Amino acid sequence: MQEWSQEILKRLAGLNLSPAREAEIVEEVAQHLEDRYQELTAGGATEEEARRVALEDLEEDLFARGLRLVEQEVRREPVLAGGGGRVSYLASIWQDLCYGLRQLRLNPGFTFVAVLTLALGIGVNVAIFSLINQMLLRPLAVTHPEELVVLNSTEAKNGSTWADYDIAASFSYPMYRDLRDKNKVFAGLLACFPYVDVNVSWQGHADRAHAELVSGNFFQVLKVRPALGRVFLQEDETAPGANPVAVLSYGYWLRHFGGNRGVLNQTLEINATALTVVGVAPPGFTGVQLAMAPDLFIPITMKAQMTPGWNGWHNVSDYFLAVMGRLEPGMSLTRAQAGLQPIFHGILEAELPMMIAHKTITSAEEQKAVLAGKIELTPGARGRPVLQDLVQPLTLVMAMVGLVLLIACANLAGLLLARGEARQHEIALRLAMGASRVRLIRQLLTENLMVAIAGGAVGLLIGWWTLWSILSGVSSLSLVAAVMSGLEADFDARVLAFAAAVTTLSALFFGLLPALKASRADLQTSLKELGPSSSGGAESVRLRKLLVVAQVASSVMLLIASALFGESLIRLQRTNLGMRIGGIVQFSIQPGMSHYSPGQTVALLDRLRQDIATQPGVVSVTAAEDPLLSGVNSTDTMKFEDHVPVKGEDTTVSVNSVGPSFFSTLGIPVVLGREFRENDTASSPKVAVINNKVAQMFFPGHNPLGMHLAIGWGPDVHPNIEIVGVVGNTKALDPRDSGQPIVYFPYAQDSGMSGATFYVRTDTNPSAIAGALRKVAARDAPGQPLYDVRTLVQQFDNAMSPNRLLTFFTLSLALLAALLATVGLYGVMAYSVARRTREIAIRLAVGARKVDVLKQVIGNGLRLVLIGVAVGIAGALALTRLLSSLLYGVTPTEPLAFIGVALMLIAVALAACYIPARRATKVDPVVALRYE
Amino acid sequence: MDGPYMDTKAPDVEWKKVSAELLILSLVEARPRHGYEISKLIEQRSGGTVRFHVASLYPLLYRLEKRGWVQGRWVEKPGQRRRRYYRLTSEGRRVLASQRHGWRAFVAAVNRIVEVEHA
Repeated sequence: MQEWSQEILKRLAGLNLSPAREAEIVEEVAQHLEDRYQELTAGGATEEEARRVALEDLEEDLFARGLRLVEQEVRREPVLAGGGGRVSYLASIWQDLCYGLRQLRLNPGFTFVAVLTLALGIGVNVAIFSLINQMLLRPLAVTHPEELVVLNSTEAKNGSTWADYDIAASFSYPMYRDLRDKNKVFAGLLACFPYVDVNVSWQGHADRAHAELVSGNFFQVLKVRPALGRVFLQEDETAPGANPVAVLSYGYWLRHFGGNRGVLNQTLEINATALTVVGVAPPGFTGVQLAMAPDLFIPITMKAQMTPGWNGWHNVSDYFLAVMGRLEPGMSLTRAQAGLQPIFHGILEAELPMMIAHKTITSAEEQKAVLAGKIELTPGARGRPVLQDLVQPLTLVMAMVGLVLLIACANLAGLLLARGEARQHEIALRLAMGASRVRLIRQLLTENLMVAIAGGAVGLLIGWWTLWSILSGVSSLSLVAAVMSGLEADFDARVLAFAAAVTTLSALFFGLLPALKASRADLQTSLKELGPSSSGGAESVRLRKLLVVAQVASSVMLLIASALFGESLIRLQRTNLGMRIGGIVQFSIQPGMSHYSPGQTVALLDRLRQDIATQPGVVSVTAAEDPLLSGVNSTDTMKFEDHVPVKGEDTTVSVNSVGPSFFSTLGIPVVLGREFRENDTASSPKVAVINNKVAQMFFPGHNPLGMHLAIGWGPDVHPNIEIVGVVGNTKALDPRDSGQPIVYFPYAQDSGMSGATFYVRTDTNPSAIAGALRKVAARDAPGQPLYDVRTLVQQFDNAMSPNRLLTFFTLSLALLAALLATVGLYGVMAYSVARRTREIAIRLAVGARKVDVLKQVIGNGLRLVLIGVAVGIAGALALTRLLSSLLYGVTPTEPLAFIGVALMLIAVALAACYIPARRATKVDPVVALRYE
Repeated sequence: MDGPYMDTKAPDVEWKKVSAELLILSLVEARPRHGYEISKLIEQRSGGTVRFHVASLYPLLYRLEKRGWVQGRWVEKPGQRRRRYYRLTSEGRRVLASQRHGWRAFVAAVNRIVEVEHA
């Protein structure tokens, strides 16, 4: 038979038939030739003659032509350029693509699982990479960013310092100005102060915005051209308060002015100062800090107006400016640094007398420390390295999601190994037809690449969604919102390139080994048996089993972690905060930014409180300087009457200045004494209310009522503020906290009030009252933006969002890992059932019961899962200690989480084993044993 | 189906094709037969005048199958390798009837001409 087969295959070459069809034709025609041969030899012909005559019947050209006409009339196989002879390269790729597409269509189950597995793996990677890209990798959106450098100086900085990541990166304005004017290494030197929250009011509408104060040459040094109007020039940096102009960022212009060109030359009230809009920055330009997107740019000379209460811009000892330079063409970083040092030293020497005069330097040692200062330049193509601290954690997360993708690929490799086994006959035939191994590998890789591309495309969608979810979680955190205001759920070319690279690598990773293995198909066995080979493959099964155990183990660990996080989250949500947050609406107001004095601010707060109290539905109203559940925490070191601190004892406590009815409005119990009243005013005796924790810490065993305390320490401080009340502990600073010591003062007695957050308790729908509150505020405090308008419950939810994000992310990863493990398990089981079809058939044929076969197959799978679960739990026990700081109210060894996760995985695994097991019982002994 | 033998483009080819189709359809009318059997029967019943090569028989069988006139099915018999048997479908039955009719009409027409010439 076999020699006929080969003769026939030779004639079929180039027809590009489907392997199954080809096999059918070969079998049928070979049978015919054999019959003819037998007949001829029976009639007396020699074997040689009979063979020749039989083959003559198979006129090569006629046969192929006839078949081509028939087979292709419906099939529409790609017609190869050059026919069966020399096949052009492009045509053969096209053929691979068509063939691959058909194969994938023929196996929708495999295709679906493969694409989904890859898409999930690629999706999380793309999302995390996009975050890293936006925070750390991409260059600034300016011309020739590689010419930019960041300036640092190492001198001792006494006086007022402000730094976001390193004090060395902060400069005084005089130092910046002198460096800019005297240096010969820079084409330009810019300065900026990127963190200014301002009140912007325009056409009666007030809002908060995020401004960046910049030097006049800021845009010129960065070589940024305006999208509209003009950008700043050196002339916009003349004298304090003399440059009332602003440039809007493109995004802010679109969001708040609807892209209206009419806003040009209009006047905006920014922190009660009239600034003229002179231009709009180009799209994509977000300043010199990755991940941060200021709403508007304002000249540095307007600092006094923009940061009321802090105007150190002319002071040599007020360090707050970030300085960056653009190197002269051809100037190297080291040469620039060397050239700058003598100038820098000269300026320091000149500043020294002023520092001494300001008493920021009082000793010869301090003088030395200042003069020892060195200037250091670091590359600035990626802007100010503010988020450098995130490199490590983000790398860790990237490694985690990378691992998930690796598991996904390994899984797919497993699936393909199994599939390669099943396709061995097809491959053997193609090899027999004269296809080269290289060609076959290319064919198989093409198929894999198509799966990968589909996975990559779906992965981009999943990645976008993941990123969007992460960013919505992050943006609700007011503390990080400013630094990361520029993060977008948007993929740039770099992310797309990353996705493409990951996709291609995945295809190679999961596809190459199975393709190599499959292309080694053994023609002899395969054609004889026309079924999956029973020999070989044992090694790959062992490997795949190991892989499944590892996957189960790692998903158990991730699942346990997410279960613990989830339980923490639930406990946090239910935690007793020591106050009643339901039915309360809050909003914040900062009149101090619009040049209200503390006295005026207090008066405004009082007026607002009184007017709000008369609104329908309002039960009570109060205000506090530091908003609750926001992470804002002011502290002061205190001296308590009759309390002698032991050595090393910290008498620092949290403080908050609050209005009358604060405790009753928020439902904080007054344990002793009274709460603040309307008659606790600036002129009345100074009073304070402490919480239980303070009473326990500093007045143990006695009644604190009537005792005194004071802010400060040392012998000169005498406690003179009377304690008039003791209230219950709250978790107002942080729901995770067990109760901080807090001292409350009446805001009327706070000489530094610049703003407050109002708390309004209502007996109607809290969100419905927001409109009424805005109306009252618009009347009492025109031009003052209200911000953080939300219910206290929403505020609490915001405070929970890091926990929610953590839970959500680990849970997603864990479910993904579990899904992959399940798919892997299913793959291994299906594969081993396929390999053992004949064995199972024999057992069934000799009388084994189907239920026994079912039991055996499921038992095999279950064993893998149990090993994996055991390893995973052991790993989780070892690792969860690291989690304890992230947990709340749960121990890292919470048995419920462990048992729950184990049971869940086992249940899922049983389901994954059941399908192949059932298939095993359906084996028809006759069919399976046909070729024995 | 029009009478393809009326096609003027390649009368010879179509003529042969239709008659070949007619032969095969007729042979599987009574019962399913495999390819070798069909070719042997054609050879025997035509007294060796008509012979189908493998190279033309199978493409033809496949085309008939594609058109749904015959249906092939693998059949295993004890002690033998499996063979593919072709049986006539109901569609095939209709086609066979129409081709037979056409053929008879054709032959009759040809005969009339031929006999007149000889007369």
